[in-house]
Amino acid sequence: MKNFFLLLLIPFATFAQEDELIKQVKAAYETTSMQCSVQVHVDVPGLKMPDKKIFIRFEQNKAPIIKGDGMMLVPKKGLIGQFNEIFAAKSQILFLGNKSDTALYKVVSLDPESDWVTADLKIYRPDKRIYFMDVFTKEYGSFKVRHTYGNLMLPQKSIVTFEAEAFKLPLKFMGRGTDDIPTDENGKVKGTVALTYSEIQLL
Amino acid sequence: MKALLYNELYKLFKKPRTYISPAVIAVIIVLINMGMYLEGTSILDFLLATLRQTFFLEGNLINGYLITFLCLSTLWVHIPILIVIVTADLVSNEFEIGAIRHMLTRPIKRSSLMAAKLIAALVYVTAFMAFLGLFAYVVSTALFAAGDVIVLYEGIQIIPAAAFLPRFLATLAYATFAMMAFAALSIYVSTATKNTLVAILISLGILIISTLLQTFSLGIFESWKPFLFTYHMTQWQLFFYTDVPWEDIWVSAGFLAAFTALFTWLAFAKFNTLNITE
Repeated sequence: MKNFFLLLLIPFATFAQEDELIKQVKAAYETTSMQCSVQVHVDVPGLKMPDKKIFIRFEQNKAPIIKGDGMMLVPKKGLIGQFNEIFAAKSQILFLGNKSDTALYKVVSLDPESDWVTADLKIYRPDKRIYFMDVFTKEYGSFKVRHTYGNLMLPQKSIVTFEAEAFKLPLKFMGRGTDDIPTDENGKVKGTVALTYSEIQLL
Repeated sequence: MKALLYNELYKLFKKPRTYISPAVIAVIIVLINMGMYLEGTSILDFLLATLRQTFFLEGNLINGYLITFLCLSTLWVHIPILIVIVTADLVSNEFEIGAIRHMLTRPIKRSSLMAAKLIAALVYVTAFMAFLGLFAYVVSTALFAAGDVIVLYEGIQIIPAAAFLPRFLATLAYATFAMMAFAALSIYVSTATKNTLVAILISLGILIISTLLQTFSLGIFESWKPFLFTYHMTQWQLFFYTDVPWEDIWVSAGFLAAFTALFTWLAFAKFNTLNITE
């Protein structure tokens, strides 16, 4: 009888551990404002641009401030300062299970104002860092982000993969063919942006 | 030959019509700048709507280099029209006013006179293109700051500001060569018809039909493209690809050289056998 009650208690104990892990991760990534330099490398079919070094400043509940020379492009999701956007929003966090040393979570937004709907997180237990995120947005589709780390809790490099509408040109004389851009059956292209961070400062 | 060339250039730059074309292109460039100043942002927003779905897009998007580049789109139709107004008049006008008889009663070779006219046309086309480039660049960069150029070729290409000027100058050089090909055609038509208005209309008719066939993206017309002179004239756009396809540019330059040589030869052949006593 005693063993039976112990067996019943095991799942509750595991959930308690997972709550503790996500709390620690939330606390670690909870930055209100920060700034950093970013080297941006864009690899999107139908878009050719040189690599750029830019400066980004993140402030809570505000769009990032981007500065640099010439034209700058950064993906709408997957940036270093956007962890807080997921953890600060009103949400339901579901523990999906463990895969070796990695804990899997699904964060469901309960905030009707937020532009993302769900975020799948892969957290490496030993260092409590997020190594993979799949953020599904209301308007811009899904952004899959793979982070790699150095000494800091924040990533050193992020690779953002997304699906975007293929670029179509409405005016013949202003443009020149877009027929050769490889698209999937829905007319979308798969793009990747590599963001390498440096000079990270928490404000 | 020197005297003949001086004579041709003197006549060319003495005619008021020679200055109409640069004046018109100056007005077009000012209008493009005004249009971009007033509506540029909304036009660009419309064109880049797809990009804005996925990216934060920041920077000086409407800039002097972009507008200078947009002025080059006049190379499609406007500039050939403005050039032909002058070049199609070079030979036929001499017939219309009867001056050709007086000139050829003097001890000069017909081929020398035709060569002088062709060189005068080359001088005019070069001066016109230099004016276009300089005016577009000076006006646009005076009104707007420099910046990266968004080019809508094969999707979206972003040309860094530092790479703009060499590409722009290469485009002007190529476009001058291309316009000379069209000028050679118009001079031949002018020689053959001996009537300026007819020569202008025929030359423009050929230009318009060729441009229309080029812009149809339908199966059969697609295969004709490499044989249309307007297709090769518009290959200046290749200088604004991130990786310039030099091989394609040389092929098109070769086509235009052959086109110019053919119509120059035809013009010489026709002029040398023309009956000037009619």
